[in-house]
Amino acid sequence: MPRFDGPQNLNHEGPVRALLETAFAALEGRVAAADACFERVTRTEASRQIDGKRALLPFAVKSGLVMRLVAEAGQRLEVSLGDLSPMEARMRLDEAVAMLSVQPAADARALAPVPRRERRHFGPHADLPEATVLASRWEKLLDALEQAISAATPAGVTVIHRVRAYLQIEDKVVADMDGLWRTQSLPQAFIRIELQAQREPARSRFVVSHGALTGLDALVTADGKLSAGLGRDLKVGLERLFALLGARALTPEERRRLTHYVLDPSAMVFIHEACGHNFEADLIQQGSSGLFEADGTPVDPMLASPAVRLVDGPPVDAQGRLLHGVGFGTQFIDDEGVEVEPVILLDHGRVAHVLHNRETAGRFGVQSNGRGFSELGQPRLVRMTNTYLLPADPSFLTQDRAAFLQGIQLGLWLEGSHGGEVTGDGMSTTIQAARLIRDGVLTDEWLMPCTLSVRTRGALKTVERFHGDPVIDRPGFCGKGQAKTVTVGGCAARLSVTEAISVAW
Amino acid sequence: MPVEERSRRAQMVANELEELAHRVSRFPGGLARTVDDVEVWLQRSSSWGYRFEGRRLSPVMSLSRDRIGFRVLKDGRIGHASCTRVDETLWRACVERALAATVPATPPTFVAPRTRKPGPLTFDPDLADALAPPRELQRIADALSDNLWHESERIGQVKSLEGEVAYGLRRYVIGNRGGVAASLHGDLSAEIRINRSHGDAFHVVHSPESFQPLALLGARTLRNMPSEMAAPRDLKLAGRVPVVLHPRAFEALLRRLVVPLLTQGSRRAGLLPFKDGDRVGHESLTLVDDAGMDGLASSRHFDDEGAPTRRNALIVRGRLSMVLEARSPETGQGGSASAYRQPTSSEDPQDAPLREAAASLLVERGDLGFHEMIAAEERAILIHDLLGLHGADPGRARFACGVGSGITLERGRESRLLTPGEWQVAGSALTLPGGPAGFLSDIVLSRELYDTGTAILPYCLTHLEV
Repeated sequence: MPRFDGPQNLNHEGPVRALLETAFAALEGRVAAADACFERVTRTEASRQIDGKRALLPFAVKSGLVMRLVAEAGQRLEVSLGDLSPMEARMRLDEAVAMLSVQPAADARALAPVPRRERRHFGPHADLPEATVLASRWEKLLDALEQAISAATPAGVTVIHRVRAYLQIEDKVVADMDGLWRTQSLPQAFIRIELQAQREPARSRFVVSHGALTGLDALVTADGKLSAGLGRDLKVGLERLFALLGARALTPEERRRLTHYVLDPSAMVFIHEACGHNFEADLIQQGSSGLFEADGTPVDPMLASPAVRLVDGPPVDAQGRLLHGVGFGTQFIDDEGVEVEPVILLDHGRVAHVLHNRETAGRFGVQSNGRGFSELGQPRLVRMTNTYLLPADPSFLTQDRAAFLQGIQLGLWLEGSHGGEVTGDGMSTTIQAARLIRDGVLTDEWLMPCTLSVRTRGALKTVERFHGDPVIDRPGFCGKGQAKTVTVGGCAARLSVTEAISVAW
Repeated sequence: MPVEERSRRAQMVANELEELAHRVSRFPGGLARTVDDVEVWLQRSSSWGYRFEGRRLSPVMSLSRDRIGFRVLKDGRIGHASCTRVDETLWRACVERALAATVPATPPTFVAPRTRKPGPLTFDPDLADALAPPRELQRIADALSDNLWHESERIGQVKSLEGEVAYGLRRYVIGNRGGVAASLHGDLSAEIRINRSHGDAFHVVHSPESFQPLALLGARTLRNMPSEMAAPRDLKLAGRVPVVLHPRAFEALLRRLVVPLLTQGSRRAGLLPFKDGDRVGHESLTLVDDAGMDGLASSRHFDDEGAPTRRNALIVRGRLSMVLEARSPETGQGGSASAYRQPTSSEDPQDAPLREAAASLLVERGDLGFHEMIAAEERAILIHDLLGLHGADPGRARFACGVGSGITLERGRESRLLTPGEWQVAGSALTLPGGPAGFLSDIVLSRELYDTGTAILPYCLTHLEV
């Protein structure tokens, strides 16, 4: 059985070593192979409810262990064991081995290996500040938000707001019976501000989300000012909130005359839902992808227009260079210990690669590209990280907005999406605000929040061109039975109207 | 199966709950010199079952996931902390950290935990025992899958199958110096989706006489699944059209757009423009939040402050009757016993603040049978579930969503599947000042009631924008 020695890179790494050594020892002779992912999240939170009530959570710690047991005949069981002591682990593993023993013999395709095993630690070492320091910073943040909102609110308008913010350090250990020991430490700061305005009878709503893989400075400075990034996002959010008080829905006649949609980088939940999920190999193998047959064959190898490149992973710019410190969904290794590399899903509109964990990579006979993630000790699924839409080559990109909009008779510039849902063949996402484009000019005619629905296969077939630098900073949480941090973004994309895309108010 | 083996699981679970309650009840006493009071909220959940992935069955097992939230009172201020391990040393560290960042406590006291009497039936020892041997659920999952694929060989159609069958257990314990309350919840549930476009669900808390209806869930769903699909243009449906909301879709709309408005918090923030007694819906609409209904996964003996739950009739015959209300900030008295650690977005329940929320929902039945109800409409659609409802705006009670799955109703019969990605519906739930008419003012409710697992609701015929 392995003994996990060597330098310790995480807080509390010693007890985790003891736990996993005990767990693997308890499985000796009872299973053919086993691996584990242990996660520990230390978090502090602040919130403000719509009635102004504040709550501070100076300390929250949560941990979870997931283990995969492989029997001699190939049966596998991934079991969530919770947050437990070595003694409790022994007892719970007895239950898991009993469950494994009644599984019928499986097709024994091996797990894909962890391609590189040498490097032990990833990410910066980070600690949460003292609770009293944190409490003061959180209060300052909530004060600064109230002041900024109050200062921006025009006479005659009432604004209420709800806030949730957190700072956390996520530590992760991935280990196996053969001695693999890899760790990762990742700080994360996040805030969500829900703004609601009333100027009776009109009401409007806008949600501002901001996140970064750094400390509290990403939200509020030590002297109580909003960070530059959050201040900018809040300012834009408030402008949208007030503009939406005078917004309207598109008329049926205008809807019939629409020629184009423009997706702002902030509205790219669309590509995460409509495309990204369908490239997850666990969904592909169970026949649930709308874009692939269960054997991995694309239903249509040319899934998008030749202008499109779709990427998941550490962000790169339009020229393919890695952007450091960007992307709320960034992870250095996945929860199976595989390093996370950028994966090109579509190139010049053509299917290039799909997303794999070790389980699906073994099934399809390829190498894992590090997309096996779990939420705190839950089973590891194939997940996206940062997903972004780029021009396939510079000829499809223009920095000149007038040139980008040229030729659009009647179009919608769609901004800000929060949340979406997909069922393989179709998806739906809420667009926070839209503006009309008339004869190639972006107007100040605001349209109310709407729903963008897409038939998956035709989603990207009509992309014509892109505009601006890639923006990959919209934090989000993907739910696939488990929550995972993700980012969506890219360059603004222009699509001609197609039956595969529709909007509704 | 030997009786001793069958009876072991329920007894073990009951013993475990008693031990947890004992540990929670002892904890505040040990901190008498440090704090005025400490409240421990504990949720332990576990589940095991099988996931359907095409023809494969994958075992899923989650053992004892603990979530523990603390609220600490000292000198009129309150602090919060949380952890995920039952370990008194860690709990004391949490209390110390909570004291480092307190805010004024409103109200300044905790509830003395008590349970509703008589409480709802949320755990059946017979069901826990029957599903205790690891082979039992596998047998049920196998039968469900085999029956479906067998039916598929006979009538074809199945390209993909997704879903899960699982037995889940939850234990709630809440304790402070005023006492301790504990409850046990166990349910067997299943959900299947065929060809990514049509599915059904099953839920039971009581041990059924037979598991055969569950074993036939897939085959039955497939037999009732129309083979053709229809887009709005095929039916020439557009504009305001008759729509029947399946109780699952109806519940989703009520929970997302109606219940959050019917709270004291919304009233205080100016979002709820109605007074008690105002008309908010059709006179056939009576909506009750009743945590005491037997056999629902959402029923509770006490809320997350430890107050015994009660029946809250929110809308009676179309008129607003009351709103969900927290305890008085000054005296700590009153309230509707509906304070829950209800997470939003990526929050964990142990970290979520107490929010006014509904437990189990009940809408009273209507007069017409389902088929009588739809016979009156030449063409309508039946919506099973909506996509992206979490993006809807509760402030305006307004939604515009894709349809996840549904069926056309043509000449009084269920005819064709709604083509995925082609259907969108929009509407408002309530009629707010200056806003469009809410669909709840224009409803016909079915005589049949359906158990969604968290609500008992009729089918709801209304009109929405397609």
